Amino acid sequence: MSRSHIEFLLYALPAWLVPLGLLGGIEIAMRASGIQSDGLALPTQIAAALVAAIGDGEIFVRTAETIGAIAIGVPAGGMLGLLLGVWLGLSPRAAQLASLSIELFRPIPPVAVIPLTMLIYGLGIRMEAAIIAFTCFWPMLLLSRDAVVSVEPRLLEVARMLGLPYRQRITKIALPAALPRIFTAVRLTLGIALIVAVTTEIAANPFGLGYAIISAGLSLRPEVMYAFLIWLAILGWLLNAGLVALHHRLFGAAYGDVA
Amino acid sequence: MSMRNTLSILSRAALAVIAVQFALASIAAAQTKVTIGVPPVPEFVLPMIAVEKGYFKDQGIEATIRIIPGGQSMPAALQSDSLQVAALSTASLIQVTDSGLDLVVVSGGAIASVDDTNYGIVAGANSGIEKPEDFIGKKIGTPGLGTFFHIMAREWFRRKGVDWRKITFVESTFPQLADLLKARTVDAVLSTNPFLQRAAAPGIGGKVFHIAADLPDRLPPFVYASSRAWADAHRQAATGFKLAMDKAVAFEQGDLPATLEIFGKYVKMPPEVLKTLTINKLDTNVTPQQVQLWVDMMEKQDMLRNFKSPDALFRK
Repeated sequence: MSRSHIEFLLYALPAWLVPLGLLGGIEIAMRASGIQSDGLALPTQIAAALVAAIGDGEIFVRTAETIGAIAIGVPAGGMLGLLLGVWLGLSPRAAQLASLSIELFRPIPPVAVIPLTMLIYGLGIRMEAAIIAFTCFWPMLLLSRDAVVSVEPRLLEVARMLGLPYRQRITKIALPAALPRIFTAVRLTLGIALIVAVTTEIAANPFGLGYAIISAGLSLRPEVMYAFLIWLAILGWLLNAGLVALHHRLFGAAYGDVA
Repeated sequence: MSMRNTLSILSRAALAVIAVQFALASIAAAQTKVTIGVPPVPEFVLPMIAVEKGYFKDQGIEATIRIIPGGQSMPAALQSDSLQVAALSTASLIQVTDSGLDLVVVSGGAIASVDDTNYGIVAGANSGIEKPEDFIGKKIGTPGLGTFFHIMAREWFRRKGVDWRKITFVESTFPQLADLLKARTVDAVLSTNPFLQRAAAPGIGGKVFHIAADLPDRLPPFVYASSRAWADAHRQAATGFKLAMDKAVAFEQGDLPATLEIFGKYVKMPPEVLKTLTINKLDTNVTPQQVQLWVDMMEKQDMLRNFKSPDALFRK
């Protein structure tokens, strides 16, 4: 291990001490009070359940199901939102015409469309992907519209003076200039997608991690339920960390840091 | 005709016979694929037995079991053909029919008889609740408002001369009920086994009111239903489903440990809980008269608008 690795670990360690200390405290408190519950489990039991779920592969099957739905829903909804957002960003008239419709439909909670999507697609990955697509469409639309709107106007003027056709104005000027902000939108959208996917699974769809959580709870295995919950936290963290790293790698030098 | 020609004809004929054999065999093996949705509760073990013991296969049904917690999504899943058969509470079947969905009963599931101890209201220890009137002004933890369980409890209070409108029912999930009672967030809980036993444990629960004792006898808590379109298009499978379930009932009645073992295959429960599970009286026969018992209760609770007759829920 190089010196920089050790320095990184020393830097990251204190942040890990907080959750670990918290879990230790819970363990001691629960053991001391001798608490008996169908809804709670000792952190050590949860850790054992997590190891067992990793061992028998269930966790990976469930994760693949959830991630699979996200992998279909986010590109589908995101691409549509992106295209429409870029268009609205470039055309003030279109933006004005669409503004009311967007503000009317955007606040619809994704969970409220579960019954509708279930009737159309039935249970399964398609229904979940449709809800995720619906969820991702709006933030992607708004963030990419704003990203294009805030592109340096002189760049677009130059493009117009050079007589670039509309398509090239998008591909050569608007998109590259807006890309870092659009990437931020993707990162935010993925976080929302994970939440919505798991919520859908808990509420209705017998697939994925949310289903594993609710099933374990109902079959009186709280330790398994929390194990999946912790796995979900790890997954969310990994997803975000991966995307932040990618953001740094792609745009870090040119566009400064991201939070 | 030369020897060679004869051989050639014979071999062709043999090939043709083999081809026909294959075709016939594949027709015989062509099974109707049925996905069955059931909640993770031992009462729904019958289709699991029928799969494991090959009873469905004998009827030309290739069945897959999907464990679906909570019953809310079942009607929509039937309508969208994600599930072909689903276990629905009889009350929920009546309610979605009242709202316009076209479902039919393919088999009965269970029977709640008056001596049933599986449905109960557990009063909290030291809650001071000893008789039905004591519930007035109190809070009862209920697994699902408006569900069959809630309807049964309200009917029980009505029969006991207690106005259920003066009782607060709050919704919770089954596993949380015992904790809510222990923490005194609620004064009593409405539950079923294995959760009932856990809520009634010393120090948590006090008096247990077994509500089935005062409700109509032979009340079917749930049935197996399909969309009418599916049942009409697959008459043989719909009839075969019931026959396979009859065999599963015989198995369940003859061997409870083996039944619970099969249940444990589909719903992973801690072994110590699995051993303590009990199963209600299962019965695949259900009549429009039995369904009417539910309709009567629901009408008294102002739950129905357009429901006509339970006869329409049964295939001709």
